Amino acid sequence: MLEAAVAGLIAAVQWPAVGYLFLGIALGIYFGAVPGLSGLTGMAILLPFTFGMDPVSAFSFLLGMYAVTTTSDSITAILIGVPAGAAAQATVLDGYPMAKRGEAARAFGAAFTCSAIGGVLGGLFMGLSIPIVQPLVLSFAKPEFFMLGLLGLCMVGSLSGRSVLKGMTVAGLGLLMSQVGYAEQIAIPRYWMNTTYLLDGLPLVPVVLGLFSLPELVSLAVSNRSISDVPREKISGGSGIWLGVKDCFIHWWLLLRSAVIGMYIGILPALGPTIADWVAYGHAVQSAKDKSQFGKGDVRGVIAPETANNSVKGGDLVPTVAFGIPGSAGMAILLGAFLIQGLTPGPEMLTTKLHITFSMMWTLIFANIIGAALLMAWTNQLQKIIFVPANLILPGITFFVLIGAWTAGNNIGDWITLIVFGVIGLVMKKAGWPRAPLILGFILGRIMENSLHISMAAYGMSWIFRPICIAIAIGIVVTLAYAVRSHMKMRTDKSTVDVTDAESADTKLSLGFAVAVCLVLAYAIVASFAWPPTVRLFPLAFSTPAIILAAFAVFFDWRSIRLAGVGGTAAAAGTFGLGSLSQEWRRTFHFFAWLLGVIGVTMLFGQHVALPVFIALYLMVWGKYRWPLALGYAAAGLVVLVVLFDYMSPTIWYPALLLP
Amino acid sequence: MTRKMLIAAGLVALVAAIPGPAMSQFYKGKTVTMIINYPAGGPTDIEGRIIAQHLASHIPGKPTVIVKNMGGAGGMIGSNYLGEIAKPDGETFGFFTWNPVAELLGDPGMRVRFSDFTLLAGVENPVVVYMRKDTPPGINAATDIMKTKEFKALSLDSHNTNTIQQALSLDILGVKFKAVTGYRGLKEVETAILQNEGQLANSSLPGWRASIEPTMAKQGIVLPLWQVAPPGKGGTHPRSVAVPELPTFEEFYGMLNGGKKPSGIAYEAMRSAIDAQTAVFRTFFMPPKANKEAVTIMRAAINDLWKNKQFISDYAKVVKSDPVLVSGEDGEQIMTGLAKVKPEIKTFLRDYGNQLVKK
Repeated sequence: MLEAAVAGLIAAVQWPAVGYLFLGIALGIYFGAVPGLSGLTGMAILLPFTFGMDPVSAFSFLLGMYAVTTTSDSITAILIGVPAGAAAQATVLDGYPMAKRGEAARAFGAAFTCSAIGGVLGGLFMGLSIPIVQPLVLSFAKPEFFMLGLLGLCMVGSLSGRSVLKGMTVAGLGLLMSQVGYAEQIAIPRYWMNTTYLLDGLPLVPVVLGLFSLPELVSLAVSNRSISDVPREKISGGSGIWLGVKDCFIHWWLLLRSAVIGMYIGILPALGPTIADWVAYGHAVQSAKDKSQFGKGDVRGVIAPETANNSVKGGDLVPTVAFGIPGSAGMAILLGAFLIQGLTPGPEMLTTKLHITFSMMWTLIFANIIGAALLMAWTNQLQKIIFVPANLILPGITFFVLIGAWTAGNNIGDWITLIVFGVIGLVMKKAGWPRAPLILGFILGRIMENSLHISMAAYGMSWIFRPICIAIAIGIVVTLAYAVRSHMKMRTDKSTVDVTDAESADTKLSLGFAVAVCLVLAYAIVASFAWPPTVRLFPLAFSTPAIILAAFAVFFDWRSIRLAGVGGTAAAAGTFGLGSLSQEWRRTFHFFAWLLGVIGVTMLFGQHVALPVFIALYLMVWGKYRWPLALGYAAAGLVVLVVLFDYMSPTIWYPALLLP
Repeated sequence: MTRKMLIAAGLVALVAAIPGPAMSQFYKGKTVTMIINYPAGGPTDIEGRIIAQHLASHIPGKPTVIVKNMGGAGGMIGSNYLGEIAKPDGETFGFFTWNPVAELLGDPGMRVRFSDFTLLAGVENPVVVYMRKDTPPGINAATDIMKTKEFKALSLDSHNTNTIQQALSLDILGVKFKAVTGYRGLKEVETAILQNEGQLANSSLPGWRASIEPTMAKQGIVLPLWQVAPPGKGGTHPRSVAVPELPTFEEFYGMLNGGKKPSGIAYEAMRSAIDAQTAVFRTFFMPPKANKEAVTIMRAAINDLWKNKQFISDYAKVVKSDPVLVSGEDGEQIMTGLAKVKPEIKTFLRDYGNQLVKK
């Protein structure tokens, strides 16, 4: 084995493999950093280029690219609150508030360092565990997946802060969102509103961008302040980076645990970085003694997901190489490279081709270190963006948010989803409802339903007594007990407020949202009776308790408004109160009207007209900038569209009605 | 005179065979988009990308060919896009894996029927049915399946061709099994067989040759039972040249029943569903009412592509056998054949699919 490891090392550093590795890393930084592209897109685009390569060069190229995308995707997540890829979603929760506090450099220092360490640990784990991991992978069938999903849902408690009731309600709403589209067991579409677009379910990326990024864009547009609340003069870039690096070593135990979470999720078939970052984030909050800063810029909220979303890739490779079972969507594409190279995953990769397997391990290790070092060197340049006035930077960010949402499915429905969830996200933010449990329920819903259905069909009720299921069930009980204990403690400790924006919550708006959730869930329950029992079982199973919880939320909000009197407390009657249409609300409506305008112009003239025109008009009308700057900015947007999205990563645009 | 006529006829044929200036100009400077109706990384995608890489040099005018995955809803997102949104100007075509059962029974999400598209060509593909060898009392030969008391047969959703043909063939043989449906892809089914969540499943030829055979059959975990072969001439189903070593379902049935051929409504329904699928497993479609000149050029280009040794070698490297091309004209006949399927067969298939979920 040692010989093979050395042979793998030599193969990985030999020319031309090492050249392809560096090329892969450069492309990976690019694919990771641009919202709308991702490691997955990169894999699909680069795969055909590996035809003429030898196996080690091909894997150095593809894995070198893939390894660093989850390092560079934290750039936009931290700087502008836009996750460039699905794996950076949880990083936004604390990374962006750090940037707002003027600590972007520190967040980068932490994100890049722990990404590198996570990636290296993942790579080592992959190399060392492949020969011995077979029983673990094979023992995780559908029943174990369902139980893992249930365990994941228990994170809701820790992602909900004080409002566990609201957290559990929106988790139910997230589960309901996952039910849109074809049922798992029979091709009956659910909640699809006769729209083909919804047949395949709601797309994750526009939903997340809408829930988390659009509300931030709105607040930037309304306030016209720079992202950083702290003036530039008070920020020292260099020391910030090192502070971030130091943070990783101070929180080494969390880093290590997050790396293990990532590797473990990676090993399990079909679970990838998207889930790993949320589970790691949930674990960080759950296990922290002082939770008060989570959601407001706690560096641990950056360390945990960034470590896990890099270490997950080492784990992903294990079932891919050992059994040909893709550990994630990216690995499914990598399997294509195996076919192109004439290699067969399985015993061959552990015996005669073991050196190629080890060359993959070295590639992961080198790529993670080199990628992080390159990004670290650019940190000072990158962080300048947070000091630019909002109205100048906002058209650019909106441009990338729109493109990011569009590339999810190349459908105008992606933009409508983005805007609808932007409104929902804004209301939830202002009303003090936690948004993270919604995403958790949404991601886990489909996996859980599919696993439960197949478990019941294949094993009847006996699956409950499988040993690993019992072990996970014990884990669930312990997690719940711990959550209850933490919650009791939190109620007595008034200083503990976290990821919910609860302190500035508008109670009237919260009441309105709770009523809306009740109505949606009631509709979901009624509509489900039109389907066969197997198809309605899952939506009914969680919608029923969720509507009861929502009704409690309505009652508590109503009571607190009554207790606060007719005028309410400052929070209850806040600037976003339903009764008064404040200046802030008007500007918010105005901003959404601009977005709807982009959709309208796109339908008539296509994106190549709509997006540059949006940039130019926004700068001139909203930002009051002069036309030469507006035209230059718009031209730059057009160049990005043509070069990045027409030439480098061909994209299907909306077929304009009035232009060919 | 005859000689002159022959020369003249030869010249006409030569002129007709050489692409004219208009033909060679049609695609010059254009970008052709190939829509794949499954996500990146799956067998449809990998095969599509190999084709895209080689196809451009066979199209007069050498356009740029780009690939776009539009997966989801069992391939319907991509096919609806091609049918409803893509312009029929010849600049967009689809490389699809299609679902004949959805075509036969209709589907709420299907906005454009496959038979309405313009078929450029298809790729033939048999289906291989395989089983775990440790299924009690032990499967050492394919016929041992008849000794089993009960096993679980895994497949995709209940109204998918993959599920229907597998369950019908097992029912025709008269073995006792439990259908476990709802897996999202054949790779997931393969994993579940490896985990012994079920004992029997089926896969396309690339899935069998490139993955299941080397990782499970050669390790002694599974045994191939039979192939569901594409239709031959005169209603026969000869062994596919891609898997000559494996008996067809009809041969297997004959082995167990003294040479008798399977018959009856169940067999008729099974063949109605699977014949069209195996005959043109992967399909090259253009939107309905596509530009006729573009159709002619692309059909010729695909035929020409199949003569390219490098392409065949790249393709064969992935699917582990030479791909068999079905011309657009032949493929269209198969498609129109679906429209002639008797209403009672359609009703039988619908009821059978519903019953599978309740089983």
